[in-house]
Amino acid sequence: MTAYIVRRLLLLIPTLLAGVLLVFGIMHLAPGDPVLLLAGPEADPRIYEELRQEWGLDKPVYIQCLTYLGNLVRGDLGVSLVTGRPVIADIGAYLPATVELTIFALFLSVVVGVLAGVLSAVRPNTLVDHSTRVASLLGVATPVFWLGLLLIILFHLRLGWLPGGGRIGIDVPPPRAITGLYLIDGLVTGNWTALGSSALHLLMPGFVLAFAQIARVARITRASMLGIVGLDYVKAGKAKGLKESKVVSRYILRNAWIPILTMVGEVAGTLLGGAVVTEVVFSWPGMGRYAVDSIMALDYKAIVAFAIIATTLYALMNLVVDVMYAWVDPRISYSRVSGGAG
Amino acid sequence: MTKAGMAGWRRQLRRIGRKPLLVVGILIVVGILVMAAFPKQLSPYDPLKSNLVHRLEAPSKEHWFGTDPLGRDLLSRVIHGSRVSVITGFIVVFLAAAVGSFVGAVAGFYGGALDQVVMRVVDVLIAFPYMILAMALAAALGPSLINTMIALSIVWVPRYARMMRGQVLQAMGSEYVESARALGVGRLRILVRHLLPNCFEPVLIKGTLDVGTTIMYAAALGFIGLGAQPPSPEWGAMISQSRSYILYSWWYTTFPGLAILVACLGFNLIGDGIRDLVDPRTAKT
Repeated sequence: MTAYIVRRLLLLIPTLLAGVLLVFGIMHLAPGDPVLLLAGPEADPRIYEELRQEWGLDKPVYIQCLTYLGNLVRGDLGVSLVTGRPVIADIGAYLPATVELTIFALFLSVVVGVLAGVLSAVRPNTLVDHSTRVASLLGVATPVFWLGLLLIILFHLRLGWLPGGGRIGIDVPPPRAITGLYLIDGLVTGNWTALGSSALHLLMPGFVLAFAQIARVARITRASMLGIVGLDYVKAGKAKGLKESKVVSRYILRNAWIPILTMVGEVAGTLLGGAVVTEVVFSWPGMGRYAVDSIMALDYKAIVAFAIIATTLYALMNLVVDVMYAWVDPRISYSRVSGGAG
Repeated sequence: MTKAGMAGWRRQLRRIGRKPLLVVGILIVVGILVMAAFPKQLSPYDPLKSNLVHRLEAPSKEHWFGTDPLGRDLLSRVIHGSRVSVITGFIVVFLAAAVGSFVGAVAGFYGGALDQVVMRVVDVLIAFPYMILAMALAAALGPSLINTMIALSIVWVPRYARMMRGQVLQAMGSEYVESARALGVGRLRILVRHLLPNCFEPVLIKGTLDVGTTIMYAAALGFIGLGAQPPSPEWGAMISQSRSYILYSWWYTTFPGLAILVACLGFNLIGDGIRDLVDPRTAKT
């Protein structure tokens, strides 16, 4: 198992390298000029030249790319054109917010999705089932940014129940940073005001981000469980006189996990992309908004850094899913042949 | 058409008729296609004509969807927006499916180093969260509708390539390919005449589902400011502009989004429905 994980992590390196080259290529294909965006269209031509030299943009692309890769190996991600700070400092400031949002949304997707799917599958063609199916059809078709705005109009502007944006109230100092995740930091330091405020702020963006994914998880859970309900060993379990809850949890759900896990891996990837739009809607100070700002400014250093992080997180989540296959289904083993079942 | 052919068609139609969700999907999509084809005839007002006397009016008998801050009729703008979205959806999926299937089929068919290189590139592209890749591409190419289409097509290509490669690899072991080979049919001809037509079905289903998804992603890019530019009535861009007015109007945000939802739902229902017709095993999902 360890060997398998190590091999998968090593495989991440070429993927990342290719990703860096890809983004680099894309950004240099760009007809837009970051210097022009930075200094404005009416600046003195000499200022453009100076800026270009300062940022190393006057050198040929391959030199820029090699310089970047060289710095990257030493852990230097360069300086952001937008914020003027080292990119690594920006990541430190913005990444925890995105991680908190994404993990919360993933948690919601899995818990609510599996629950709805199970209910739907054990009571097929009832009200629960039909409403789950309708909700999941709508969920997949609902634009994230639109749902976010509608909820802001309703719960923030009209009802005033929930804050409309940001991570924490402006009058509430954030909890002492330990993990950077406000919920956990608030809990650990016993800062209940900060915990409450950040929990309220997390509710709407988390739900909006999770909405479509809840639908996907519910759908796959229902389908996967229905494929097992009629099998002989389930009938045997029922015939033995086991309680229904036990048959569902131990006999059906346990064997339905594999497709659900695959979907969770996919969901995790989608969440990262969805986080971008969600963060824009809810003024969430995370990597997604940072990425949008950087992309608009054609700031390749920040974008490459974002791409590296997004790809790494995505790969790690998929690795976790693959490892969990073996945990859920003991027949799957990664230690024997190379390549294995992964 | 022969009598048998007619009977076959009737049977197909009856099978479709037994799937209410598929029928709903078809009705929605036909409605949207009609809107996209005849926006001028269907909309009550000119979508670009501002009327400052009637700014930000709530839905009424005159303006069913209300008006925007320039006094433009929202219903007319939503109807005209269907053309932008439908065209984007179809062109992106068509381009991606055509290029992706070709690349995947060639890689799977010829194998070897070519296959290795192509599939590694595909792996890298898929390992990237696609919204971010689409954004980077759209921004690099410059914000416009055409560039949005190019960016989204590039993002979808590897997914079709991977799928088509799998299909071709699977089909290569089948008897009809073997017998064609035994008859001395050339490699290229086997690929084009025998393999591709037999591998096309899943591409078609995926394509239908992807039109809806593409409409949504194009709207998301428009929302961020990377897609169609104002004053073009694109649904995502309209929602983006409505953000400054959410304090005063709910309708400006609501209706363009509802249009995206309905369009997306329609294509999804058709995609699901076709999949069930073709493969009854998935019908119970």
